[in-house]
Amino acid sequence: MKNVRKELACILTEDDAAEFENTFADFETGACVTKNSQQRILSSVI
Amino acid sequence: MKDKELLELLRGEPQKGLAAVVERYSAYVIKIARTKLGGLCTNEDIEELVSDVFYGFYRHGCKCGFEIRSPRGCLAIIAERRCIDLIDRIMKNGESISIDEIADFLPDEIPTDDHSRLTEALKRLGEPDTSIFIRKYFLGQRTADIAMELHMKPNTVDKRISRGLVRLRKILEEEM
Repeated sequence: MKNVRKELACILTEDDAAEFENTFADFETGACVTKNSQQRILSSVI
Repeated sequence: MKDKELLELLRGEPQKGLAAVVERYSAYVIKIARTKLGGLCTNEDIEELVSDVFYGFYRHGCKCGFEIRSPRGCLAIIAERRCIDLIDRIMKNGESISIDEIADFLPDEIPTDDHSRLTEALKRLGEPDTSIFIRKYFLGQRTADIAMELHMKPNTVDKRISRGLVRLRKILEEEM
């Protein structure tokens, strides 16, 4: 079981991420961020 | 803004596009980072990692002309890798994390063929098992949280994982 966990941790590439689009979309449900936090992230990226 | 529009903006006005991606997906990337790193890092560390994920996404996009099928999926992949890198760095710095916590996150070197084999096998599990496996093993989500978000009982999730592992092994053996 631990091997499956390790393998899955590095299994996906940017190219095949789309294969699991629905899972990633569902995972977004309930995600939240404060405006301040978002602003700090934005200013450190741009 | 929809993904298609985001990608068009990134291709035409990259900086403006990146700002739109941060606005659209920062909560999502923070959720992934908190799921993987909660209790191991400060909020400041997590914010720094999230910034790094968006920068990584931008660099990846510049290389491929933002021909990205799923920005959300791409961000999840980059976030996962950055979390593993951060855990690895924390471990090397000798900060206090139990071996059990770390062992689950450290990837082994996997041959390229095994990536696609496992991806295909996971898809063959079908929903909701595919999602449960990705959430549990890729995104590192706890059974109780998976159960809550997928509107299931925790023991149903555990049973599906247990049966799914047997099926996964069978699928992989059939392909050998």
